[in-house]
Amino acid sequence: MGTPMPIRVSNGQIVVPGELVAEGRCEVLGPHFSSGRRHYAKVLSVAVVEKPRRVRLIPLKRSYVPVEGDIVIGKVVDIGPTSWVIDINSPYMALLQVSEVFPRPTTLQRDLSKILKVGDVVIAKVLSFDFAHDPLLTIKESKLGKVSKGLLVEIPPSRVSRIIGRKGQVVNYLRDVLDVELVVGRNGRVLVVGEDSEREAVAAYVIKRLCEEAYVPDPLATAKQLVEEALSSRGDVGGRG
Amino acid sequence: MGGAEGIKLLDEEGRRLDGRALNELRKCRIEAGVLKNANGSAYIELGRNKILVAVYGPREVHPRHEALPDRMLLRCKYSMLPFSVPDRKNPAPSRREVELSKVIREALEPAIFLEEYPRTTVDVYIEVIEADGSTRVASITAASVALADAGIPMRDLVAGVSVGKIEGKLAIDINGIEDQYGEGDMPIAMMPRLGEITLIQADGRFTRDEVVQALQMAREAIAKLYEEQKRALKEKYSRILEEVEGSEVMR
Repeated sequence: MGTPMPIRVSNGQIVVPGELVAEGRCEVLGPHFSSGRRHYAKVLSVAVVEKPRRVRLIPLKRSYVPVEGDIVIGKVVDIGPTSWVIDINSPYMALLQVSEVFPRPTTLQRDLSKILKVGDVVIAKVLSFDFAHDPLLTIKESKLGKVSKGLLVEIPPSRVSRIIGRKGQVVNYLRDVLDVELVVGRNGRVLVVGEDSEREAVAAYVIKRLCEEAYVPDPLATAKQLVEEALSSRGDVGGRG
Repeated sequence: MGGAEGIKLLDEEGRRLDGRALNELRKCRIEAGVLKNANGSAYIELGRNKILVAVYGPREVHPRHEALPDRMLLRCKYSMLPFSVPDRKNPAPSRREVELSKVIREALEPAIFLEEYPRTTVDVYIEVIEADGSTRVASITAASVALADAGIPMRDLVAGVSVGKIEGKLAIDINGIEDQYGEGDMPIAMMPRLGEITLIQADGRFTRDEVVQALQMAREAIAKLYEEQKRALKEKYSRILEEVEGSEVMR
């Protein structure tokens, strides 16, 4: 290796917008921009050097931009003549049209507030989004629709992947050990539904704590530790009942 | 503007009223992420200046018709609190505040990737808590830290400094008295990494050579401010990082 190494940051270093991350032939993942052979950070991020020639920038804060196919958790904020306006914790307000709620055509006389009223929480899927038009949602699929019970946890959208973990390990772990159902919205909202409200609260607590730190190298291990701590302090010996 | 009318801004040794050399900045401290309810925030103390900046967004534009189809709208509001100056300042926005809001916005805009979030807005609220000269450039320095703290995509940070003319000599980072009794004031803001100027104004008379010299002085001072901006942003998050890494070692 005669050429100098391209990465200009150390592992776990925080980079500010415009800071040089790498120079030369290498792979830069995450929000960055390049000028010639130089690669710069675009937003305030943590740099993770994954390989000698690969660096990943994990943004510390980022607002949610809808992507087609994302599962999101939204709140109804307004009702129009043929649609609901849904806040999906994004700079863009989403629309849920009547045609994406009813299987058959319906009449205009229908009172939409009887189906979903302002303040209701829905699990929905992003049907389409481009920056010229507001995102459209659908609830015409299984496991989507109005939420009637559970705890809603708000987390920064940039930390959602941490809650899911590698191949869903963290979510599955929490699901198994605490016996709760978890729905992770890509927009930074997590719904926790469980039989036992105590365990619901533990799950919510672990999720919140996992998101506090700017960067967690091993979310699964941290989640396990947090669950053990929380359960032992409640005098509850882990595992499912 | 005339010369120093009875007020001596430089002593025999060439020191300024507050004891600084001509090319010496005032003490500067920046803190990032000081407000919980804003998406991003920063607090700056530059000498006796105290300025708080809060950033909201990107968010939906209200009123709706102001939204731009292809890029983000940047809105700035610079305002001075009634107790920020010796005589009470009327809290109604003055002509000066409206103008400064505009020039600050234009100084920040080139650094931001506005096209990243079309049809949205980022609001920057600048509150001057205590003013002692060069508040517009200190506001720019703090606002760019607050924007970075809010996770807004940017090409570079922006830092600013003012160069003044006192008793015929150029002086960096002039304070309130020097601004009032000096012969000129030239606020300059730059993107430090790119070396591009985003704001330059001038009040008073400057010769061609003086302008060149002022830019050189500003460039050096801005490099120092840039280090402080980076320190402020990194410190806020590295504290948290260290804790995480500490627990990692224990495991």
